[in-house]
Amino acid sequence: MSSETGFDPELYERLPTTGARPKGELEQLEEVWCAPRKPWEWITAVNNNFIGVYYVGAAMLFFVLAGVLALLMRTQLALPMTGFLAQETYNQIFTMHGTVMMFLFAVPAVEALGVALLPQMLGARDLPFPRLSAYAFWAYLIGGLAFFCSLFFGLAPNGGWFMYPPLTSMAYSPGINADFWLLGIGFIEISAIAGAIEIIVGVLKTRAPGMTLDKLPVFAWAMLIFACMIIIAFPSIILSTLLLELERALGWPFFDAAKGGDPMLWQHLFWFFGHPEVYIIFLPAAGAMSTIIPAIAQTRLVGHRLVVLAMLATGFISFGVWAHHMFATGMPQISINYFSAASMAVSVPAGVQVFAWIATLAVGRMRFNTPGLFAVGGMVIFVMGGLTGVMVAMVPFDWQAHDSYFIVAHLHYVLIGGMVFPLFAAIYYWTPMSSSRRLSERWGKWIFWLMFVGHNVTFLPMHLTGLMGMPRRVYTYLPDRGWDLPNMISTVGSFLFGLAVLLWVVDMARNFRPFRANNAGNVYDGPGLEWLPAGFYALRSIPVIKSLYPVWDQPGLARDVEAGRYFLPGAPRGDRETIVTSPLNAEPQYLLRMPRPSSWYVWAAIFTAGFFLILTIQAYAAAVVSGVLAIYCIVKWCWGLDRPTAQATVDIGAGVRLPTYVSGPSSHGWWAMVITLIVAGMVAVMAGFSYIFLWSRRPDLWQAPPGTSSLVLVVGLMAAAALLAWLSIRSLAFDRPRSGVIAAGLMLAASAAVAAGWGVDFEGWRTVGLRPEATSQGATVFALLAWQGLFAAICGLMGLFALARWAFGLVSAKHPSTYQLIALFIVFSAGQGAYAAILTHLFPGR
Amino acid sequence: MTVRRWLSFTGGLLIWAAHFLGVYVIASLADVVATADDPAWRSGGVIFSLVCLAGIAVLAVGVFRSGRSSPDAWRGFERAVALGACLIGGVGIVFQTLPLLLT
Repeated sequence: MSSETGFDPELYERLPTTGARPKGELEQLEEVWCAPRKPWEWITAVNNNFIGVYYVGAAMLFFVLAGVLALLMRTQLALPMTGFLAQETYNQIFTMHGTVMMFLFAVPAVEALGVALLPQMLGARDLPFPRLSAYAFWAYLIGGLAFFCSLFFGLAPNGGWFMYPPLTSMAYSPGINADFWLLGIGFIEISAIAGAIEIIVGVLKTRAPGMTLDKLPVFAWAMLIFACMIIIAFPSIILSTLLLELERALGWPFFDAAKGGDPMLWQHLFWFFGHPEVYIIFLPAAGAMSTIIPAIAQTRLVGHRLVVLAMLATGFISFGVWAHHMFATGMPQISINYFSAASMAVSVPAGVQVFAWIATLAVGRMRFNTPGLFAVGGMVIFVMGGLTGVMVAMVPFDWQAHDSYFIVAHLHYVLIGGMVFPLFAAIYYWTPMSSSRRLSERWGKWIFWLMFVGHNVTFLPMHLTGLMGMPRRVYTYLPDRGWDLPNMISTVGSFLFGLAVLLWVVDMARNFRPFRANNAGNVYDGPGLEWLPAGFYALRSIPVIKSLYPVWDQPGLARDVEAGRYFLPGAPRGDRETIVTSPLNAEPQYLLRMPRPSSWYVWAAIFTAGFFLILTIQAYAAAVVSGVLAIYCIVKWCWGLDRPTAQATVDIGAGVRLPTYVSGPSSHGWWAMVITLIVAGMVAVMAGFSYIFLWSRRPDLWQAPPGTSSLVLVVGLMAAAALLAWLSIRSLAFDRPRSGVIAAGLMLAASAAVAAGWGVDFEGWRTVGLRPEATSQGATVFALLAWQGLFAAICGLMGLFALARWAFGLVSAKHPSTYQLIALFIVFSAGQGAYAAILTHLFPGR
Repeated sequence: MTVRRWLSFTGGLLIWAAHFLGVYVIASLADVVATADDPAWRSGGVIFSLVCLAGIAVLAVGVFRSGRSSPDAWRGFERAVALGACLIGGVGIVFQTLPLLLT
């Protein structure tokens, strides 16, 4: 077998070892990874066994809350002209239902599933950034609950979950309801992206040795693609919410047609996020299905390669369908045709997966247990939703069905069949992994049938209601239009669905017993690593993987893993540790020291959520204080990173020694920074698109840019910043007595150059009289400047951080990670500043 | 090496994505400069599609030739998925080009 990193694969042959393990090794491992012992340690816990369960629980709480809102809506619509809900309340409730389901339930739920399952599935002790998971969770929970509570004060957003301007502009939505949406989901975006970074690096870098890409579990493939999609799609919603909030707060006319703006820009930006979002939540659920169905049928997944390929293809094609939500907006016909074609094409990879599931069930012995029922039920519902999806991909039909209840039926079939049923299958399937009791099979079957019948009774008639002309988002309707009966049936069905969810909550309360030393075990005879005996440290020892289905194919694996006969059977440095492996062949690279619980990331999450929520109520001073405190907590958190270690290498078992520290592209931190910068780069790309798009709407309003000398100076300063950052790293690598101070000085100078470049650009535009509130050009140019200003400020903070690290003796040639990451950030910021300056100065020219 | 392998692994789909973006940008530019379905701009779209198809063909040949004799199972997996991605990308490009030819 050829090597990716120089690691000798022959070393795997030494495992499993045969000798007795040292006395006290297991006890030490248990002590290092012990459960919380004091009350507050339940809050500061970072282990995925805790955070994963919290995360799934919080997501299901929001599912129940949003479901209650759905029942309120169905009660209002059961009969014509009822007054159960006032019009404004109904508007807030349907907006919150969609928003909470999409932002606070669907994405966090699948991300939570990843956090809970991936370490065990991959054979890691934990994901590589446990504090990031904890931060993401607490920001999401605190912010999400506060956001939901806006309903009780009549302040909830009321413009639909898509928040189209001009309805949501200041002219038509003067209250702070829309601001709650725009700022309220800010922390969710941060939380989702933090989780995505964790998952990408986790899947690529913390797999069990030997787990090459062909042996990577399908669920991990799905989570990897899901996380990459978040990285590409979420920047668009970050940008669009920023722009709309800037328009509302400061009057910058991005979407105001009178000043050169265009509401269509919002639709492009929103749906570039919004449609991939559907696949973002579908893919992990599909990955769960592809994992559960082989276990249920007790056979291998038919067409494993095709399923992986189909998931990859779905990930790509889903970015080519955003404008199918805009067929009725008057886009050019040829563009509409492209999106129509892509919308039909995306059904092909989804179909490949469905056929693979059916074939697997046909080849194996289907067991009609609760996860099996939910998997098959979800498949049936999803296929029905997919078929109506192909119908609405056809433009003439879409024009007929647009904004009618047919679309409501379609999207619920897709989302409930494609995500909710698989999630329930996953909950029933994997609960025995994290609970000392499994959920009730008898109750589970009742719950499934109630949910399956309830879903179809609710949403099947909506196809008809829509074709009969009932529009979406109306709070009531007139009698004698033929809509009364289907609406009543839908309401009855929705309560059946609600009853199913209620029974599930009771089942959970009766049987779910997490955080215990023992679990219910592999009750469904699953083939993955997550079914090996485990504790809070995950697996006792990390095995060498030789099959896609290790538990089925590697005899004696459970016994040898539990006996500590594979890698890392203890805690060699007395700390929490996991093995970092290479991204393709999963060859061991180094031993990563993992953090112990502390409170800084919890406080950081509280103040981050506080910053966004306080901004909403326009208490700007308090918001700034919260923001500064959040930054302080994050800096404190970062201060503890990248510390020297006493042992340069450690024996991880069988005489294999790994380094305890690496830097550069091999390190997990480098990967996380690169992914973060891709997010930022996507925001800049989408901002560039917005700039060009708005120019194409009203080129007559565009004024000449500042002189060429200004551009040359900006680009020159940015180039100097990049050069200084690079020189800083080079000087540190020389490892001379004064290398540290020179590197720190150069890094500070580099950050100053970024700030100077930004200042010159800002001053240039101010001098030529461009005003952000006057035209769409002013708005977009100053938005780009504001974005770059944020990066210049972060560069400044990082420069000071670099200086402080040197002052405290934490900089050396042997530990250059912090400096390398700061340099990466500064080089990116310089490139982004140059890009923005070149775009705005040279396009469309003088 | 890692980046190169990932690029060849997903290359067919990346070219499909570039093609989709390209034909959309060409139509959008045409809409600003002339009309979105202006024949000259449509021809540009078709030529761009042919270039992308050629790119996929080159990539597919490269992937097909690489790793044929490797004993590693994961090489076979990567090769199969990469070739499948080229196939899907190629069919996708033809499908996305049909609006240029038929409407």
